[in-house]
Amino acid sequence: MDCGNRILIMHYMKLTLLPMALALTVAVAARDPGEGGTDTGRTGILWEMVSRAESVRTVAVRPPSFVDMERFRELIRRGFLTRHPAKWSMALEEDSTGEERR
Amino acid sequence: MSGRVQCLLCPHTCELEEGQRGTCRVRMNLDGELVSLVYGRPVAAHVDPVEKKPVYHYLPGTRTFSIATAGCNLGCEFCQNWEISQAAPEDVPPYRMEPEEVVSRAEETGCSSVAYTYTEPIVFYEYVEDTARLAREAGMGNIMVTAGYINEGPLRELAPLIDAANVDLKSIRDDYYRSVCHGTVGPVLNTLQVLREMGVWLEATNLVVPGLNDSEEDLEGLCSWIAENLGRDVPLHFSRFFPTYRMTDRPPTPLETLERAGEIASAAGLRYVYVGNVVTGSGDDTFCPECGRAVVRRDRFRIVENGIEDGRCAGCGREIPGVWQ
Repeated sequence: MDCGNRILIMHYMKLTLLPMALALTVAVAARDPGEGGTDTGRTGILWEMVSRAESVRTVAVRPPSFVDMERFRELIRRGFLTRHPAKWSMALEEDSTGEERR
Repeated sequence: MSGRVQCLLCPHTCELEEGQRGTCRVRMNLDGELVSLVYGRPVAAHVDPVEKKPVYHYLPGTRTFSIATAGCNLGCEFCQNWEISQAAPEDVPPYRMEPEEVVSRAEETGCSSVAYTYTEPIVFYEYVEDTARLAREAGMGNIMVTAGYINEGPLRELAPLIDAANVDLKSIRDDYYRSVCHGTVGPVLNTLQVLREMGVWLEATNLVVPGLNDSEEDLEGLCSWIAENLGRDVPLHFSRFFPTYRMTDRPPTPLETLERAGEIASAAGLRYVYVGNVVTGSGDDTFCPECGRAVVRRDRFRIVENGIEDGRCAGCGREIPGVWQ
């Protein structure tokens, strides 16, 4: 292989393949690894780092999550779960501008 | 109204949209109202010796009716009860046991107290509160075994119903709490101080994990903080780590490390130091700080000898802090 071809291939790797590999790595690392966290073997390293960031609210092992309401209403109806009023709650209200107030 | 609610029970202060549940998994926003999904639905109910909690200076030799629901607001990677603490309540079949039934079963089985334990009683706060009130009326005590990750307002409201507590102080370092337990240390230290101030009989437990919180600096810091902020009479239990849940990459705590932890605690001035989760010669015994006599001798969870009379050492008469009868 002559010198010109080698330079061309190196340029191609630097400008195309390396950025693509980097972008792919970031995308995989940023993916939500699911409830089992990174220990499930799914990566999501960046996602976990961000989710465990500085504030008290974000150190939690899992963020608040939506449930299957239909299933939950059925579980409550059957007495498997309860809908007992919980203490220490505060309604969050929106003012006329749509901004949230406490 | 936005239909959103915020749970103010613990420092996570989860903001929940309709249909969302908090980090503990057992409190959710249902139709704009915060509800408990596990009230009267324990997943564990057992009669245990009080020593198993561990609580060593509260009615030794008695039995305690111990209950837990699913859920926890922390996520300790070494959790020994992760099958129920880290589970969603819909995935673990519960018993149906309203507070009245808990208390009547405790009475039937000859228990002196009800213990809220195994998982994290903070997340089933309303169930604890109602059961504790009934247990108190029936002449029984209430024991809370907790990681202490709770806001001060709810704690102060619940504390008058609690007779004894064992609080897990997992480390004195905030970065340890963040990376291993998914919480922060500040609220836990505050819980310990508030319980002490409010007259709840208090003991503390520290799980010694090899390579994570077993350095001299860590142990000295933890013991000094207890001695300075809670007093030298607060019993401290060092517990042995065993690999489990998400932390299977290290061996059980070497016995020498636990012995060294005990020495560090004694050097810091703590008078009642115990070693748990391991069979030792005398690590479970209570020694009189005055005359050195073993005033309470234990064989794991069994009381072999109780040499405390009217709260005092039968040998020299020194007062031994605790609730003895």
